[in-house]
Amino acid sequence: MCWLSRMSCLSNRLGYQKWFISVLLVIFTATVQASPSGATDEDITQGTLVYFAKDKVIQALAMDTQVSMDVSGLLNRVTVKQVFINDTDQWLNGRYVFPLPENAAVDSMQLRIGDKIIAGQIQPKKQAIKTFETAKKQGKQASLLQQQRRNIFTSEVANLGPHDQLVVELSYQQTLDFNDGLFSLRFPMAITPRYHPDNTSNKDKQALAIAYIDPTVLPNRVAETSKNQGINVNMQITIDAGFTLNIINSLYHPIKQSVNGQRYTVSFEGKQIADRDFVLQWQADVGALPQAATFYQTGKTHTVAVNPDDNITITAGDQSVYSLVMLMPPSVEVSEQHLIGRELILVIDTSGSMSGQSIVQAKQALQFAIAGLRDIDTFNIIEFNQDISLLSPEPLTANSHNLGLANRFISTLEADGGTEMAPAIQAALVDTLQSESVNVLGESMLRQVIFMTDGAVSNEQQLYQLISDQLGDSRFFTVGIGSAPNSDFMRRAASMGRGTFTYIGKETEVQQKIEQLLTKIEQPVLTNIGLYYLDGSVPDYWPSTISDLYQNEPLWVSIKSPSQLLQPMIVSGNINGQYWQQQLDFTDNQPARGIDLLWANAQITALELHKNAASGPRVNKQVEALGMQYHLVTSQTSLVAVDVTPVNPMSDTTIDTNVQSHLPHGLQVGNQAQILPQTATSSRLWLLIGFSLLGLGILHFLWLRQRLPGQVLVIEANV
Amino acid sequence: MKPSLHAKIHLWIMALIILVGLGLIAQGGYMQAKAHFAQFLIERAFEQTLVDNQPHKPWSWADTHPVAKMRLLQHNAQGGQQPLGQDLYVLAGASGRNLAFGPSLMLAGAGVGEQGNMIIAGHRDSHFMRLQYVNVGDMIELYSATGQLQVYQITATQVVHETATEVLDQTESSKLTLITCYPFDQLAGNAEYRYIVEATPLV
Repeated sequence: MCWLSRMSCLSNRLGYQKWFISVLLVIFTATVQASPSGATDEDITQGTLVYFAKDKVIQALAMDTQVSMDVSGLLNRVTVKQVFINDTDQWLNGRYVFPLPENAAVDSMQLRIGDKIIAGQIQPKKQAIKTFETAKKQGKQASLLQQQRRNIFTSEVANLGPHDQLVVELSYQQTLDFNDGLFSLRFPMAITPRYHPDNTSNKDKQALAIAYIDPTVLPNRVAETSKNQGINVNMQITIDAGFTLNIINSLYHPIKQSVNGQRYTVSFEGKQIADRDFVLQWQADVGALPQAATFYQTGKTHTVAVNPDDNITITAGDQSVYSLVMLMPPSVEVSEQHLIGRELILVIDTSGSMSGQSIVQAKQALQFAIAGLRDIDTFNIIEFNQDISLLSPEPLTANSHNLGLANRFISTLEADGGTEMAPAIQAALVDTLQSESVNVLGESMLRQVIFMTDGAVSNEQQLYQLISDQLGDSRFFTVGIGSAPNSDFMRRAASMGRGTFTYIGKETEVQQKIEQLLTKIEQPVLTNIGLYYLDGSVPDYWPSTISDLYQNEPLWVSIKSPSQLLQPMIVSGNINGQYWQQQLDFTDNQPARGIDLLWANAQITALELHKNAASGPRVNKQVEALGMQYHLVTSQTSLVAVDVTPVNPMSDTTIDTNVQSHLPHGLQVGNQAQILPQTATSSRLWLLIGFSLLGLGILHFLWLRQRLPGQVLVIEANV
Repeated sequence: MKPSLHAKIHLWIMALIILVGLGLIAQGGYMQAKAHFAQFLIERAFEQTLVDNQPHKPWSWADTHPVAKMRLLQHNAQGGQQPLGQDLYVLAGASGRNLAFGPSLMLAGAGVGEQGNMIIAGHRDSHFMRLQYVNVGDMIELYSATGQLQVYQITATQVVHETATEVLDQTESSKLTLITCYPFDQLAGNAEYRYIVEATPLV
């Protein structure tokens, strides 16, 4: 640092001290300039959660959550009690954003004020907000439950008194995950991109990948939250599976369990902080696994007037029978000669938007995909940006020579250029399977297209149309790559293509996710699934297009039948190319509650999946009607509860606060969380430092030449 | 110390400082110049689009095309309105690459002229630097690629953390959301906060 010290003595001598120091200060402070100042550290004591909105420092609400679950057979009824606690001396309005499982049908909400219980009314979303805001203004206590996205909800309370609490109690109905003989239920407790290694519903995985952290919170403060602050969760679960269980296992939380006959009780050991999802899994004794199960309910769960004492009230009036069917397709022992070859078409997006990490991941994914091919398979690779190029004009057999070719092709791929997806989809869906490409037993090959992209396209509608027009017998699987792929496009494209959507967020996941996908789709067990009555007419069932079933996946379908009498139905499909059917007699039909909610929810899910710009308003109306009819919280309907008597005399000055969701355990913000686009460059910093250094250099030069003002005088004086 | 060696060291230091300085100026200047001059090429492509209604790439190797022209109008003391800065041309797709050339439309949101939440992001140190001067009530004019004009009025501005992705949520009614980094006077990149401007269409 010779030059620095020299400069400072120079500056001293010449009286330029201030100028230099300020330049140096600018250089150093500019690089370390921090977040907007506003919150002062003195205000923050340990264990207090503080955030600021612009200049104001506001205290966050504390929150206590009590969850009770009632598992019966394959159904789960969950009640979540959210206790909003106000520790301050002011009146507050509170807001809490929280996740629920994607398949949850939320049908009831109650506001508890002391001993008083006010039942929530279902209203169209806008009207509900109006009702709530009016109550807020009038100083009445009220609560509002809204759906933000399919799995993200908000609950709000108005006029929460000083040192008081309000309880919002909501309930939902869901079916359990049942896969590979393992039952599992998940209760999400933190909202972030979470890439579960488990095998459940790959389709909706991306729906979880939403990071919500309160906008105004400094994330490093959140980490300081101690155990007695923030969101505590209490969990109480009873399981009545109808058979003996052999293992009950919580993946991430310590639990206590007890047994009473066939009734199992599970609860948390103490309270847990809500920073990671709760997953409970159990297995039945071998042989006790259900192969099929049907549940039914007559009439709707909710009528317009709800009895507040019992939020599930079955009334006569609607005589429709709602039923839920779970069916395990017969497991097929696949012998060597029964193996069906497949033609795997791998499509990779090499447009400019894939540059960086995305293309690296995509190339790895390709390599893993072709490494998993068997010698009875054929494959091809299509690369596209504004042009498309194919590895080979015809699909190649998977021998070592061709795999070598493919690997060389993959290693030359680079991300640049535009995104013209339509020609690539067209090329991928051209039916190259000739009629002779059947295996020894005359079974036709499977044609599977795996499409890897970040989905940065603008002509989505056209592409959906193209996929559904050209699909034929192919199946279209999408793999989302990169930190923020257009998952909505990819999920819908996969649904049009009767395939699944897989999301790969990290390089370390590439191998596992790709292998999982390839193994799963290696052998579809049941395809072209349909449902009809004995006379050939089609029942009102959802989801209306049932996707292919793969190994150890059960079929779930919700049916609404008009009369009291349930007629037998036929489930049909293809197993290994052979026609298969099974009659459902409903002889072993178990009565259950909340089946109509599941039916309505399945219909809403299907409607929203196929929603587009043209059908949008119509779908919204249908969803609103279903929500109103079945008392469900949907994208168009919300539950609102209002107390009659105004309690807050100063409702104008009531402060809005948020309950702070926890950052998921171990999450580094900005690492895997989805964030808003980065909209700053350091250009001005480089310019400033650059000009400062240039100035220094020139001054140094002048000093060397003794041309600085005053310098000559000093030297002359020395002489 | 020999005087000649002394002088040599000084010369080296000077040369080094000046070189590093020039390098940084070039780097920063290149970013600024790119942001500034690319807008002319994008403007040309947008005008072609207005003529034939086909998307045009501003330069042959581009991965994007302009989708809209945006003008910010500010209320002045006389009660009239004056444009704030030059017109901005909006590109499709808010990737880091596109943002260097112009404000960009996020494809996850609604398209220009579609119903829903339309989201445009831009750099705070170039195109969207002017957002620090807008006030609630100011107007935004947006010309679509078909030449249609939609005027928006700013209803709210707020500062959010970069993880607050709910500002990207789709809404039923039409809305324009502008995103840039915050604070505006911060020099270094990698900002943690975003400045959000929300506007609703005037009928």
